[in-house]
Amino acid sequence: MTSRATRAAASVAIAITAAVLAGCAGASGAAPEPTFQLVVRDGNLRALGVACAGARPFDDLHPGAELVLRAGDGTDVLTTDLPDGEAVKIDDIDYGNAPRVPTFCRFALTPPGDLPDGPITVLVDGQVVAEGARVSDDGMVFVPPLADVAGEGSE
Amino acid sequence: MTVARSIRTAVIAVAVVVVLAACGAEPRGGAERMPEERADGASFTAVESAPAAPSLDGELLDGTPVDLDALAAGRPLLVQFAATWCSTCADQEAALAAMASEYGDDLAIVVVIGDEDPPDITAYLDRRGLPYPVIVDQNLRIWRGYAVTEPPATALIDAHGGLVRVWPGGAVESTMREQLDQIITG
Repeated sequence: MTSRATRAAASVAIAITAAVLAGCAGASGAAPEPTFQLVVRDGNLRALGVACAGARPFDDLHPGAELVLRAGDGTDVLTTDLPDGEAVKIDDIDYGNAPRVPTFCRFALTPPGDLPDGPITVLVDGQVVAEGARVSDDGMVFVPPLADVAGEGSE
Repeated sequence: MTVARSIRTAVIAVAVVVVLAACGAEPRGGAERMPEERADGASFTAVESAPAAPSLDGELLDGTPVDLDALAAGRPLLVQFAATWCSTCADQEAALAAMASEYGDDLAIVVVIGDEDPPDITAYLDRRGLPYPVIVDQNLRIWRGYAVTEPPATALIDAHGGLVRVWPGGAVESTMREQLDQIITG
Protein backbone atom coordinates (compact mmCIF):
# COMPACT_ATOMS: atom_id res chain seq x y z
CA MET A 1 0.00 0.00 0.00
CA THR A 2 1.39 3.46 -0.86
CA SER A 3 1.82 6.16 1.74
CA ARG A 4 -1.00 8.09 0.12
CA ALA A 5 -3.29 5.09 0.32
CA THR A 6 -2.21 4.49 3.90
CA ARG A 7 -3.04 8.06 4.81
CA ALA A 8 -6.39 7.81 3.09
CA ALA A 9 -7.24 4.58 4.89
CA ALA A 10 -6.18 6.08 8.21
CA SER A 11 -8.30 9.14 7.57
CA VAL A 12 -11.33 7.00 6.83
CA ALA A 13 -10.77 4.89 9.95
CA ILE A 14 -10.46 7.98 12.10
CA ALA A 15 -13.56 9.51 10.59
CA ILE A 16 -15.56 6.33 11.19
CA THR A 17 -14.34 6.05 14.76
CA ALA A 18 -15.14 9.66 15.52
CA ALA A 19 -18.55 9.36 13.90
CA VAL A 20 -19.42 6.21 15.82
CA LEU A 21 -18.30 7.71 19.10
CA ALA A 22 -20.12 10.95 18.37
CA GLY A 23 -23.23 8.92 17.70
CA CYS A 24 -22.83 7.13 21.01
CA ALA A 25 -22.38 10.44 22.78
CA GLY A 26 -25.60 11.78 21.37
CA ALA A 27 -27.68 8.77 22.36
CA SER A 28 -27.07 8.71 26.08
CA GLY A 29 -30.19 10.25 27.59
CA ALA A 30 -31.27 13.70 28.68
CA ALA A 31 -28.34 14.61 30.94
CA PRO A 32 -26.36 17.63 29.79
CA GLU A 33 -23.70 16.56 27.38
CA PRO A 34 -20.16 17.09 28.61
CA THR A 35 -18.07 19.09 26.24
CA PHE A 36 -14.99 16.96 26.55
CA GLN A 37 -14.39 13.23 26.34
CA LEU A 38 -11.20 11.34 27.00
CA VAL A 39 -11.33 8.19 24.90
CA VAL A 40 -8.97 5.34 25.71
CA ARG A 41 -8.43 3.32 22.56
CA ASP A 42 -7.82 0.03 24.33
CA GLY A 43 -10.12 -2.07 22.13
CA ASN A 44 -11.09 -4.22 25.12
CA LEU A 45 -13.99 -6.66 24.96
CA ARG A 46 -16.80 -5.35 27.17
CA ALA A 47 -20.56 -5.18 27.34
CA LEU A 48 -21.66 -1.88 25.82
CA GLY A 49 -22.41 0.80 28.38
CA VAL A 50 -20.75 -0.83 31.39
CA ALA A 51 -18.55 1.21 33.68
CA CYS A 52 -14.93 0.80 32.71
CA ALA A 53 -11.36 1.85 33.21
CA GLY A 54 -8.53 1.68 30.74
CA ALA A 55 -7.54 -1.92 30.09
CA ARG A 56 -3.89 -2.91 30.18
CA PRO A 57 -1.61 -1.30 29.12
CA PHE A 58 -3.75 1.78 29.77
CA ASP A 59 -4.72 0.70 33.29
CA ASP A 60 -3.37 3.92 34.81
CA LEU A 61 -6.51 5.59 33.49
CA HIS A 62 -9.06 4.59 36.09
CA PRO A 63 -11.64 6.26 38.35
CA GLY A 64 -9.99 8.44 40.95
CA ALA A 65 -6.77 8.94 39.00
CA GLU A 66 -5.75 12.57 38.51
CA LEU A 67 -5.99 13.74 34.92
CA VAL A 68 -4.10 16.79 33.70
CA LEU A 69 -4.30 18.24 30.20
CA ARG A 70 -1.25 20.39 29.51
CA ALA A 71 -1.13 22.81 26.61
CA GLY A 72 1.91 23.28 24.43
CA ASP A 73 2.97 26.37 26.42
CA GLY A 74 3.05 24.33 29.62
CA THR A 75 -0.25 25.62 30.97
CA ASP A 76 -2.46 23.07 32.69
CA VAL A 77 -5.85 23.64 31.10
CA LEU A 78 -7.67 20.90 33.00
CA THR A 79 -6.97 19.12 36.26
CA THR A 80 -9.56 16.72 37.55
CA ASP A 81 -10.12 13.23 38.96
CA LEU A 82 -11.36 10.72 36.44
CA PRO A 83 -14.88 9.40 36.97
CA ASP A 84 -16.05 5.97 35.84
CA GLY A 85 -15.60 5.48 32.14
CA GLU A 86 -18.27 4.08 29.84
CA ALA A 87 -17.73 1.29 27.33
CA VAL A 88 -18.60 2.56 23.86
CA LYS A 89 -18.55 0.74 20.55
CA ILE A 90 -15.76 1.40 18.14
CA ASP A 91 -17.24 0.18 14.87
CA ASP A 92 -20.49 -0.65 13.18
CA ILE A 93 -19.86 -4.37 12.83
CA ASP A 94 -22.78 -6.63 13.79
CA TYR A 95 -21.43 -9.00 16.44
CA GLY A 96 -24.72 -10.84 16.78
CA ASN A 97 -25.50 -12.02 20.30
CA ALA A 98 -21.96 -11.60 21.58
CA PRO A 99 -22.26 -10.33 25.15
CA ARG A 100 -18.99 -8.44 24.88
CA VAL A 101 -17.74 -6.58 21.85
CA PRO A 102 -14.68 -4.48 21.05
CA THR A 103 -14.97 -1.18 22.88
CA PHE A 104 -13.14 1.92 23.89
CA CYS A 105 -13.44 3.35 27.40
CA ARG A 106 -14.77 6.91 27.31
CA PHE A 107 -14.49 9.33 30.23
CA ALA A 108 -16.96 12.20 30.03
CA LEU A 109 -15.67 15.42 31.54
CA THR A 110 -16.55 19.07 31.69
CA PRO A 111 -13.59 21.37 31.09
CA PRO A 112 -13.50 24.76 32.82
CA GLY A 113 -13.19 26.59 29.52
CA ASP A 114 -12.11 26.27 25.94
CA LEU A 115 -9.50 23.67 25.25
CA PRO A 116 -6.50 24.56 23.09
CA ASP A 117 -6.49 23.87 19.38
CA GLY A 118 -2.85 22.84 19.39
CA PRO A 119 -1.27 19.65 20.63
CA ILE A 120 -1.69 18.79 24.29
CA THR A 121 -0.03 16.43 26.70
CA VAL A 122 -2.18 14.07 28.77
CA LEU A 123 -0.90 13.19 32.22
CA VAL A 124 -2.40 10.72 34.68
CA ASP A 125 -1.17 10.74 38.26
CA GLY A 126 1.80 12.77 37.08
CA GLN A 127 2.82 10.38 34.32
CA VAL A 128 2.61 11.30 30.66
CA VAL A 129 0.23 8.92 28.89
CA ALA A 130 -0.08 10.81 25.60
CA GLU A 131 1.86 13.55 23.89
CA GLY A 132 0.84 15.50 20.83
CA ALA A 133 -2.85 14.70 21.30
CA ARG A 134 -5.41 17.06 19.85
CA VAL A 135 -8.97 17.90 20.81
CA SER A 136 -11.20 16.86 17.93
CA ASP A 137 -14.02 18.97 16.64
CA ASP A 138 -16.35 16.74 18.64
CA GLY A 139 -14.48 17.52 21.86
CA MET A 140 -12.67 14.21 22.09
CA VAL A 141 -9.09 13.45 23.01
CA PHE A 142 -7.79 10.00 22.23
CA VAL A 143 -5.24 7.97 24.19
CA PRO A 144 -3.11 6.92 22.44
CA PRO A 145 -3.38 9.95 20.15
CA LEU A 146 -4.66 9.51 16.62
CA ALA A 147 -2.11 9.79 13.89
CA ASP A 148 -1.78 13.29 12.51
CA VAL A 149 -2.16 12.19 8.91
CA ALA A 150 -2.40 15.74 7.60
CA GLY A 151 0.54 17.08 9.55
CA GLU A 152 4.15 17.44 8.62
CA GLY A 153 6.41 14.46 8.65
CA SER A 154 3.63 11.99 8.04
CA GLU A 155 5.29 10.43 5.07
CA MET B 1 -12.92 14.39 92.69
CA THR B 2 -9.48 13.54 94.08
CA VAL B 3 -6.37 13.42 91.96
CA ALA B 4 -6.09 9.68 92.49
CA ARG B 5 -9.66 9.14 91.32
CA SER B 6 -9.03 11.32 88.26
CA ILE B 7 -5.99 9.30 87.35
CA ARG B 8 -7.84 6.04 87.86
CA THR B 9 -10.69 7.24 85.67
CA ALA B 10 -8.28 8.33 82.95
CA VAL B 11 -6.45 5.00 83.04
CA ILE B 12 -9.72 3.09 82.76
CA ALA B 13 -10.83 5.26 79.85
CA VAL B 14 -7.57 4.68 78.00
CA ALA B 15 -7.81 0.94 78.64
CA VAL B 16 -11.35 0.84 77.25
CA VAL B 17 -10.25 2.70 74.13
CA VAL B 18 -7.32 0.34 73.62
CA VAL B 19 -9.50 -2.75 74.06
CA LEU B 20 -12.16 -1.43 71.68
CA ALA B 21 -9.53 -0.54 69.10
CA ALA B 22 -8.05 -4.02 69.33
CA CYS B 23 -11.46 -5.65 68.98
CA GLY B 24 -12.22 -3.50 65.93
CA ALA B 25 -8.98 -4.44 64.19
CA GLU B 26 -10.30 -7.53 62.43
CA PRO B 27 -7.68 -9.37 60.38
CA ARG B 28 -7.88 -8.10 56.85
CA GLY B 29 -6.92 -10.18 53.89
CA GLY B 30 -4.20 -12.09 55.70
CA ALA B 31 -3.43 -15.59 56.95
CA GLU B 32 -6.40 -15.55 59.32
CA ARG B 33 -8.65 -15.56 56.27
CA MET B 34 -7.21 -18.72 54.76
CA PRO B 35 -9.60 -21.68 54.43
CA GLU B 36 -9.89 -23.98 57.39
CA GLU B 37 -9.85 -27.77 57.45
CA ARG B 38 -12.71 -29.02 55.36
CA ALA B 39 -15.34 -31.23 56.92
CA ASP B 40 -15.87 -34.54 55.16
CA GLY B 41 -18.85 -34.64 52.89
CA ALA B 42 -18.76 -33.34 49.36
CA SER B 43 -16.58 -34.88 46.69
CA PHE B 44 -15.08 -32.95 43.84
CA THR B 45 -15.06 -33.77 40.17
CA ALA B 46 -12.13 -32.82 37.96
CA VAL B 47 -12.89 -31.11 34.67
CA GLU B 48 -11.01 -33.26 32.17
CA SER B 49 -10.64 -30.52 29.59
CA ALA B 50 -9.37 -27.94 32.08
CA PRO B 51 -5.71 -26.94 31.65
CA ALA B 52 -3.54 -26.51 34.72
CA ALA B 53 -4.32 -23.21 36.39
CA PRO B 54 -1.66 -20.51 36.15
CA SER B 55 0.39 -19.78 39.23
CA LEU B 56 -1.13 -18.04 42.21
CA ASP B 57 2.18 -17.74 44.00
CA GLY B 58 2.20 -14.48 45.88
CA GLU B 59 1.87 -12.78 49.21
CA LEU B 60 -1.22 -11.96 51.18
CA LEU B 61 -1.80 -8.48 52.52
CA ASP B 62 -0.03 -9.42 55.77
CA GLY B 63 2.99 -10.79 53.89
CA THR B 64 2.09 -14.47 54.21
CA PRO B 65 3.41 -16.40 51.18
CA VAL B 66 0.73 -18.47 49.48
CA ASP B 67 0.24 -20.67 46.45
CA LEU B 68 -2.64 -22.41 44.74
CA ASP B 69 -2.50 -25.49 46.97
CA ALA B 70 -2.62 -23.44 50.15
CA LEU B 71 -5.39 -21.18 48.90
CA ALA B 72 -7.61 -23.98 47.61
CA ALA B 73 -6.88 -26.44 50.43
CA GLY B 74 -8.26 -29.35 48.43
CA ARG B 75 -11.48 -27.73 47.22
CA PRO B 76 -12.57 -25.61 44.25
CA LEU B 77 -11.28 -22.06 44.31
CA LEU B 78 -12.91 -18.88 43.03
CA VAL B 79 -10.33 -16.22 42.18
CA GLN B 80 -11.65 -12.68 42.08
CA PHE B 81 -9.54 -10.02 40.36
CA ALA B 82 -10.31 -6.58 41.77
CA ALA B 83 -8.99 -3.08 42.41
CA THR B 84 -9.86 -0.52 45.04
CA TRP B 85 -11.03 1.97 42.41
CA CYS B 86 -13.22 -0.53 40.55
CA SER B 87 -16.84 0.50 41.01
CA THR B 88 -18.26 -2.53 39.21
CA CYS B 89 -16.33 -4.86 41.54
CA ALA B 90 -18.97 -4.09 44.18
CA ASP B 91 -21.52 -6.06 42.18
CA GLN B 92 -19.18 -9.01 42.26
CA GLU B 93 -18.84 -8.89 46.02
CA ALA B 94 -22.50 -9.74 46.49
CA ALA B 95 -22.21 -12.68 44.10
CA LEU B 96 -19.12 -13.97 45.89
CA ALA B 97 -20.82 -13.63 49.26
CA ALA B 98 -23.75 -15.65 47.93
CA MET B 99 -21.42 -18.41 46.72
CA ALA B 100 -19.54 -18.43 50.03
CA SER B 101 -22.78 -18.77 51.94
CA GLU B 102 -24.21 -21.42 49.64
CA TYR B 103 -21.18 -23.71 49.34
CA GLY B 104 -19.53 -23.06 52.72
CA ASP B 105 -16.48 -25.23 53.37
CA ASP B 106 -16.73 -26.82 49.93
CA LEU B 107 -15.49 -23.66 48.23
CA ALA B 108 -12.48 -21.40 48.77
CA ILE B 109 -12.30 -17.78 47.59
CA VAL B 110 -9.33 -15.47 47.14
CA VAL B 111 -9.15 -11.87 45.95
CA VAL B 112 -6.18 -10.84 43.78
CA ILE B 113 -5.96 -7.09 44.02
CA GLY B 114 -3.97 -5.05 41.55
CA ASP B 115 -3.32 -1.93 43.60
CA GLU B 116 0.10 -0.88 44.77
CA ASP B 117 -0.61 0.79 48.07
CA PRO B 118 -1.32 -1.54 51.04
CA PRO B 119 -2.95 1.24 53.13
CA ASP B 120 -5.39 1.87 50.29
CA ILE B 121 -6.11 -1.85 50.13
CA THR B 122 -6.65 -2.07 53.88
CA ALA B 123 -9.04 0.87 53.77
CA TYR B 124 -10.89 -0.76 50.89
CA LEU B 125 -11.24 -4.06 52.76
CA ASP B 126 -12.51 -2.25 55.84
CA ARG B 127 -14.96 -0.27 53.75
CA ARG B 128 -16.26 -3.30 51.87
CA GLY B 129 -16.00 -5.80 54.73
CA LEU B 130 -14.42 -8.47 52.55
CA PRO B 131 -13.69 -11.67 54.53
CA TYR B 132 -11.37 -13.39 52.04
CA PRO B 133 -7.60 -13.76 51.83
CA VAL B 134 -6.19 -11.06 49.57
CA ILE B 135 -3.11 -11.41 47.37
CA VAL B 136 -1.43 -8.09 46.62
CA ASP B 137 -0.43 -8.41 42.97
CA GLN B 138 1.59 -5.22 42.71
CA ASN B 139 3.25 -5.93 39.39
CA LEU B 140 0.11 -7.62 37.97
CA ARG B 141 2.04 -10.84 37.40
CA ILE B 142 -0.92 -12.99 38.43
CA TRP B 143 -3.32 -10.81 36.44
CA ARG B 144 -1.24 -11.36 33.33
CA GLY B 145 -1.12 -15.10 33.96
CA TYR B 146 -4.90 -15.17 33.86
CA ALA B 147 -5.10 -12.70 30.93
CA VAL B 148 -6.92 -10.15 33.04
CA THR B 149 -6.83 -6.76 31.36
CA GLU B 150 -9.39 -4.94 33.49
CA PRO B 151 -11.18 -5.67 36.77
CA PRO B 152 -13.44 -7.27 37.70
CA ALA B 153 -12.71 -10.75 36.43
CA THR B 154 -13.43 -14.11 37.98
CA ALA B 155 -11.68 -17.45 37.56
CA LEU B 156 -12.80 -20.88 38.74
CA ILE B 157 -10.24 -23.57 39.52
CA ASP B 158 -11.40 -27.09 40.26
CA ALA B 159 -10.21 -29.06 43.28
CA HIS B 160 -7.58 -30.76 41.15
CA GLY B 161 -5.95 -27.52 40.01
CA GLY B 162 -7.60 -27.28 36.60
CA LEU B 163 -8.64 -23.88 35.27
CA VAL B 164 -12.33 -24.35 34.54
CA ARG B 165 -13.30 -20.86 33.43
CA VAL B 166 -12.26 -17.24 33.41
CA TRP B 167 -15.03 -14.69 33.18
CA PRO B 168 -13.76 -11.27 32.03
CA GLY B 169 -15.99 -8.62 33.54
CA GLY B 170 -16.82 -10.96 36.41
CA ALA B 171 -19.31 -13.78 36.79
CA VAL B 172 -22.90 -13.62 37.92
CA GLU B 173 -24.33 -15.94 40.55
CA SER B 174 -26.23 -18.22 38.23
CA THR B 175 -23.21 -18.79 36.02
CA MET B 176 -20.93 -19.61 38.92
CA ARG B 177 -23.55 -21.88 40.48
CA GLU B 178 -23.97 -23.78 37.22
CA GLN B 179 -20.24 -24.48 37.05
CA LEU B 180 -19.83 -25.22 40.74
CA ASP B 181 -22.69 -27.70 40.77
CA GLN B 182 -20.82 -29.66 38.11
CA ILE B 183 -17.62 -29.97 40.10
CA ILE B 184 -18.97 -30.16 43.65
CA THR B 185 -20.84 -33.42 43.93
CA GLY B 186 -22.18 -35.80 46.51
